Amino acid sequence: MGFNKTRLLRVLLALFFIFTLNFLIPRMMPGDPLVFLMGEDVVLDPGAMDELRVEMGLDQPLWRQYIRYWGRIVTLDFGYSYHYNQKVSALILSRIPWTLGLMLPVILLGGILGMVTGTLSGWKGDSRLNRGFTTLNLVIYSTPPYFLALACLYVFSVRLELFPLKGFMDSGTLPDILHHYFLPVLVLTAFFASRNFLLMRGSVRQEKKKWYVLRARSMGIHGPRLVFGHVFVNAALPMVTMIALDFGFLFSGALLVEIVFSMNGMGILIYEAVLSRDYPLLQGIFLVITLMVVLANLAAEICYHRLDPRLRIQ
Amino acid sequence: MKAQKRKTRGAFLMLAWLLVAVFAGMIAPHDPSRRFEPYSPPGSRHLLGTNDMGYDILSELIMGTRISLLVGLATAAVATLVGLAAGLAAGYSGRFLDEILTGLIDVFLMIPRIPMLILLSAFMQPGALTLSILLGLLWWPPIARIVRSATLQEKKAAFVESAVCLGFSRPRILLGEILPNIMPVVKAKFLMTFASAMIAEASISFLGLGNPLLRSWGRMLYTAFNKGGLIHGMYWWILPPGFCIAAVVVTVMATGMALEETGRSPKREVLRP
Amino acid sequence: MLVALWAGCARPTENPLPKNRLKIGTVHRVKSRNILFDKALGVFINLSHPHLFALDPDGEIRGLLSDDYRVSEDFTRWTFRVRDHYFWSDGLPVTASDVTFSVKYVGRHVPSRRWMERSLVRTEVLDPKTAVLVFDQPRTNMDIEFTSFPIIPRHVWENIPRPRFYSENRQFIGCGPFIIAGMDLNAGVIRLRKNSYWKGPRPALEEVEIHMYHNLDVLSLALERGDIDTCYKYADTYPYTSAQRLAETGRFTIKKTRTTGLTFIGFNLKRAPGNQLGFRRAVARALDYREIQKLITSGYGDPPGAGFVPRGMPYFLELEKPTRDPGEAERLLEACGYRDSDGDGIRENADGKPLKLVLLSTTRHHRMSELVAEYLGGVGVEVELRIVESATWVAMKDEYDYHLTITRTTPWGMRMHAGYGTGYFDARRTGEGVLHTVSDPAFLGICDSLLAVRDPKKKKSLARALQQYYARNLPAVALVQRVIVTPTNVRFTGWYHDPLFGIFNLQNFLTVRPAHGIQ
Repeated sequence: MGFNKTRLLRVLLALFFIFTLNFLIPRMMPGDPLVFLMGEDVVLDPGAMDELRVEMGLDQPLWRQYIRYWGRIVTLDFGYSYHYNQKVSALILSRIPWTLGLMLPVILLGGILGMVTGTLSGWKGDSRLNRGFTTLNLVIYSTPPYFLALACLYVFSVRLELFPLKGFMDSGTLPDILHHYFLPVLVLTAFFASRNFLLMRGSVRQEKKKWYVLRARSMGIHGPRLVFGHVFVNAALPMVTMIALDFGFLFSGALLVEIVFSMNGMGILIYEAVLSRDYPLLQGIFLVITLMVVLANLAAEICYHRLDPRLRIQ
Repeated sequence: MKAQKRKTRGAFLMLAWLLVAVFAGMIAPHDPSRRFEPYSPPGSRHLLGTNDMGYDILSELIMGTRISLLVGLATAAVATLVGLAAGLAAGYSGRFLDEILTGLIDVFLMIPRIPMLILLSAFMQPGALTLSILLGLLWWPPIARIVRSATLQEKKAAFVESAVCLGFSRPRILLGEILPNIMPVVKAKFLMTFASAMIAEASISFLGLGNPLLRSWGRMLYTAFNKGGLIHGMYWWILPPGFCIAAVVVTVMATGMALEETGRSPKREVLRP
Repeated sequence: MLVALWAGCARPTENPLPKNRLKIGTVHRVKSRNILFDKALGVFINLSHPHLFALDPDGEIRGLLSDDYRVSEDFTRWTFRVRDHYFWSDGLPVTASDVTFSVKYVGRHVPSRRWMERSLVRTEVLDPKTAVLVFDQPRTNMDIEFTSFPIIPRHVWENIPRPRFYSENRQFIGCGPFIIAGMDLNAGVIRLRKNSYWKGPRPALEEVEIHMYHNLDVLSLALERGDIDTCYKYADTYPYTSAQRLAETGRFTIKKTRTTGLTFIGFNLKRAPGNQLGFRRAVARALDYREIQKLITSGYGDPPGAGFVPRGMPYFLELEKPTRDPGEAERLLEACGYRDSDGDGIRENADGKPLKLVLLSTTRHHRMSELVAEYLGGVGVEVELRIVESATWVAMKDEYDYHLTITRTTPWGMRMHAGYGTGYFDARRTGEGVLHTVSDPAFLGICDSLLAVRDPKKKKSLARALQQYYARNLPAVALVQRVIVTPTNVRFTGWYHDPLFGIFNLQNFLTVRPAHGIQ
């Protein structure tokens, strides 16, 4: 396959390191996690706070908590969230589909759109249209995504009243859900597509100069077959890692847009978990993200090796 | 050449922004901490009106250039320095060091940036410099990766071999031979990191998480939305900061892209990962 | 994409909303389906789980679920009588054993109520409608406690050993006029329908919906658009500037309710200069209260009184209002030994150290902190702002890591402990917003006396003594008394505001009705 043992070892070590970091960081932050659970007025009842501490496992010395933490990871038990009052795993599982519904179309559509338009733009000469379109993409990519989102929300939902103002749905029917998803997906797709466009364009422009293109032309291959059969595949290589990472960081990517559109997905879950010092939930989420990133990375490597024959020989 | 022209034009624009940042104190018509009548619409005294506390928005915008650009630049500097060091070391040294460094890069690449940033910003409320360091620590891995692969490539070149034969010391080779040849890539990456950092800072400030005393453009957007800017349709408050961010980022990115094209060994993954 | 557009166009053909469905928007988000442990839901169940008592707009206790109570001479034995016409939504009557059960159960499981369960010696049920609670020490505030204590049905909860993780619909069984019919956290809506077993005055509303938004701007837009009819925020106001704008449209009534919530400056009394009365007095004189009112509350707040305790609390004492007098402030600072000897605009103390103080506060009080820093800077005190988020603030204030801090009281908080805000200052207590800075025996003595007092005349004189103590010793300086501004769509009328819960009190939902008759 092309994987050597050191690579695998390195990945595992990296995972170990990250999981440890995941454990340490919330605990190093200032502020007592119980603060938000107690409430406005606590008559000095140390008993109640201690009981809660014991229940949450916070009374143990740090090293013991660490061992428990690993034990839990192995059994995939992420513990309970005391702010959401349910099992962390259940909570995360309930949110994932919604964010997936947002991000998967975005990554796929943004990927295809961006790569196709980028290829065309990179291949064709410097026409006015081409430059104008490139500039447009540049501007879209440079604008802070939430700004775009708010602008869309304001124009389409408030002023034109075409779309709802919040939530994943109102009545739960499929058209209703699609209606709610439309704007967020639009904004994020524009953002991802513009990035992919710029990348692809740059890549194609580089490929254009390479020898094999001239050679293919001399062999009589030209037009769409040349562009999409040969150039595209080579130019797309660097994109593979990028798009794989997009999948890996799916949840963080959705965060700002979820906040603007009031969508109760994974993004907002992360945000709220951080602000309320919900350790178990934070850990659970970070773990899930890390796993996804590692898997995505692995997938990227596999794709890369498959697609690039030069690497296979190594 | 087209790219060359774009590069010069981009550099020129960036210089203009930097000048604004440096001379902000003199350019701004009012002291941004001086209070006037709040919620005034644009007029002759206040070209962009005043905000909820009565601060002149234009002055705040101009002074904000300093913060936003400073954070972007400092982050890019930190990230590039660390990335260069790590990438060069990994690319040029033996297997062992390379493995360790690449492992380290992998670890850092796996950290989800935005959640991490939220975590750190929320709890530490960092000032401009601290924020730049934090951002730099999250953004160095992509640079290191590129520097490493570029170094690996250059290592095989003939002139490097001859330098080795001539007995030049390692640092001398690294800094004298390899570094100059990978500079175009590094420069391009520097600019991209600059752009990313600005957007990241703006995003965090927009969520209200950063240090409220850091009056960046992102923070202005947060205040504008929170203090009734949207409800009252105060476009002169909401739009300028957003436009400024976009404008600077476009300039930086366009320059970076032009650099990438005129650079010698164009590499993959130059754009912000 | 086309499907979505088509779906969008399909909207206008929906049935027009029935005129007597009330939609309330809020930024409080329910995180879990648990009425006892979820903070937001705990407020929303005011409609389905009436408390024993409520506060009327004058701050007096009024019976709600209970119509009468008696307490023994030594304040250890409390007797409550449950009204006759309350029934749970599954048909069973509310009884005294529900009350005793609730006290024990909620006390046992909910951490913030633990103290009540610990203090309970025993409970008695004298007859189906009369409950007795016996405590181990004199408890004078139980009537106030029960204005926000959930009373739950025994027959539903007695078999649930771990209420924290219980999320079944049975928990929604309540005895109020409305009960929770459905909760859709994905759409951000909670639906309440009428309790068919409600025997009290018939509400004009058919349904109530609570819409939860993530950000206030979108909520404001929704309100303006008419998607929701009003906005609710516990112990907090609708943004003043936005309220003004709504008023201008003519489609909204803006109701101003004075609250006993204050924003104030707390001093660190443990170290200089906070421990110097002259310094504290100087600070009180340096502030421009009118400008604060104008800038921070858009004119909606009330200027504070000198006795810290705001108007609206029983036995409020009208003391001379503090006014701005920078000259006096400077004189007081000089008298304390702070002089600007090197002409840099900042005063130094006798040892030559410049007067640079740390003002700690949260992001909520950002603008207020900037103003205060400006005023103090004007009299030669340099202020370094430290603005942190809530949890960090709590950690820092508990460690006295500040010279000055800006924070706020809530109406509930003002009644904590011995009332009158003593809960915030008594050094023997702690809590999320508590500063616990005062250990002066004189103050603690008044607190203890207030806790033990029964005679209203004696209470009045103690309350006055306390306010005079505040005015003389200034453990804190009040900045502005907050006014809660609630916009309501003119489609509805008959609003009733409660000092503790704003519009989210049971009485309100019995009186609110469509303005133009029921459809």
